[in-house]
Amino acid sequence: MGRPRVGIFDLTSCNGCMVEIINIESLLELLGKIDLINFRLVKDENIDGPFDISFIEGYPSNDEEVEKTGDIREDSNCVVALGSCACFGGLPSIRNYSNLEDANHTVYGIGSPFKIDEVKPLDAYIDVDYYLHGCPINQNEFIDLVSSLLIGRPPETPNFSVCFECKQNENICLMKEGTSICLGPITRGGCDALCPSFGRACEGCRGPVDQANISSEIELLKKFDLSLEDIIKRFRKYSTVSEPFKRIKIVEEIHVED
Amino acid sequence: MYEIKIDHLTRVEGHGNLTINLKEKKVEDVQFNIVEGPRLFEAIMRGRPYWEMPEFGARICGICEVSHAITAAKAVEDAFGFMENEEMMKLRDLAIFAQVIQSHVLHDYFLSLPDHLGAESVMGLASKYPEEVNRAVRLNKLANDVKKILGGRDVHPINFKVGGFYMPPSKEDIEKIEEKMKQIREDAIKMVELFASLQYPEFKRKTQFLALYSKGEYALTRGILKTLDGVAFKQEEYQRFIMEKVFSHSTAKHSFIDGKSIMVGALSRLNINRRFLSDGANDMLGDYDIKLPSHNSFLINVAQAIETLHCAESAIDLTSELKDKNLSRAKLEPKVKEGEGIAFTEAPRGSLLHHYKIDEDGKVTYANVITPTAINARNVEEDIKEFVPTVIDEGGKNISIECEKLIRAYDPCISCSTHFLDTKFRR
Repeated sequence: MGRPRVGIFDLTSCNGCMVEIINIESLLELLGKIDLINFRLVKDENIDGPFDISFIEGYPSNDEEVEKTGDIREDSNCVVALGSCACFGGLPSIRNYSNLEDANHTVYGIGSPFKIDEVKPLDAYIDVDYYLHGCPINQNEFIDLVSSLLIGRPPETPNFSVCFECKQNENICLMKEGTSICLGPITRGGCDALCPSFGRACEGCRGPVDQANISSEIELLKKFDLSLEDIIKRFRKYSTVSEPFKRIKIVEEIHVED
Repeated sequence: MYEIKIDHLTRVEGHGNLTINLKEKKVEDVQFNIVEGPRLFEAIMRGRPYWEMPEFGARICGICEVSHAITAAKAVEDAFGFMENEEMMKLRDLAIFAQVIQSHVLHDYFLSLPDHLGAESVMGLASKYPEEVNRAVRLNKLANDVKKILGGRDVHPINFKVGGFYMPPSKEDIEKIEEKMKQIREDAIKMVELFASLQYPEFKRKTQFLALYSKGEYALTRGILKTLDGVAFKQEEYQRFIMEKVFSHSTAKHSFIDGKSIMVGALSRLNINRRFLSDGANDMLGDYDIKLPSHNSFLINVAQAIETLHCAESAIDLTSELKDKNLSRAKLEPKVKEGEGIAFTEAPRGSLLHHYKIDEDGKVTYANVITPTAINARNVEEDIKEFVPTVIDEGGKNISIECEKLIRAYDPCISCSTHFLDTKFRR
């Protein structure tokens, strides 16, 4: 195989994941190994495929973006969801749990000319082959994924919690100190426990780790002085629409539906 | 009558289109269509705890995230009646310097320079202009290194909080920053040399320049709002002076002062605050005989290079002040109370507002964010209206290319612009 043809696309998002890619120190070296044929943020001449690998940042927020998402899928051997918005809707998906009409009017006024739908992640529209988690993505994971695909090895997704890396960094547990409400126990690691290493709690930007014990996390959170609504807000943040978090409901008590 | 349409502008942040309607050789109408989907940040901020605002603010934009995070923190502090102490203020200023440098480098070199040197991307320049491309990569890295030291990482910092820093930097960190800023200064001099020597179209249109103003300093993080024509108002008075309107062709609202469009950003700041530039930056303005005030929007590229040098020099001065300070004072826990708070800063692309109302439990009940690109959106349209006739004889394709260059000079940050709020829809 020659150099793989790569596209880097953005839907509705902040472009932070794309900037993380631009910021990679060894980017020019990496670009020597691939054929980057579509990257609107930095290039004029962009080709519409076919692609060996397509990276997509953000979530589709209107008909045009939904169509574009489908087209990219059709033209790509492999699609990678880039960052929290593509993986689980990211912060914008918080609005799914509010009255969408009110949210629209809050920002654009009663006569808002815009249509506001629920935020859905990329895999609600198309098949996604790989996920790069985080808000923003982690540069090392991006490089690892590209390198793996280059040598034909399946990329590895970290499947341990943030706590694992936090312990490796010899941090004192913020939950144990009783000062912070941390999502570290149920959040996918790979960030080197950056936030707890700066003395602040994990906010769950990388989404839930596989087989996360959410009921037990809820019990931990109940020890703090929080209302049930406040507890549920901790989960309805970066990965509101991830499968395990969607099942957290308040019916008299807060619990995880089977 | 015919239409020129550029779909999906390239080398700009976010999704924008441009539509120009021409009749004979006259411009009938120009629409800078901001088509990025609305993310409704002001709506999702409601009901969330106050301390999340720097974190949410950062996610509005992946290019000026430090500006959003710090502005959000300052606005919440204003609601609590909390005053930042000297250490906090200076460390935040240092972070803003790094933010402005990194964003300007990204725009000038990665997004704009290919226009001037005839390439489709910065990668396309690498073989012919290795020195410039290496400088761009080095500058970007150095500025990101400083952002990492202060904010924890380059994109979406995690260390800025209401009340300063989760983990204030150490004296050694400040020494590292000083070293990096000295290296940036050397490259920034070359950056000014390059961008001041490029040829820009002779295009002038009188407009209103707006920027923060604070006597004795090149205001980036505090001050009043001032236009070059002498309109001046306090931050908390912004709603009386800046009028916003919703148009269906743009998810960014348009802003006006006295019914006229406004320009914010590097050129505005330079026009208004030139006399407060650092010595080196000021000298270089003179060396290249750059006349101010300038009404040529293409010179935003030069203004950004000058500001890059200014920020590096100012940062070096700040680091020497900070070395003797007790930096642990930059972490405080403000007392929560009900209130309303406003903060403007100068983000790389211009004046940025965060405005919150907070209840007695520390929950946000109202949020308003006005971003520089949204303020500039109308001005871009007005510029294009006057610019098109100057290139009309060059034909459709070239008109598009030249217009795209003009828009790109503004360094629009479209993700940012699509979610700022006013409560009323005006027709």
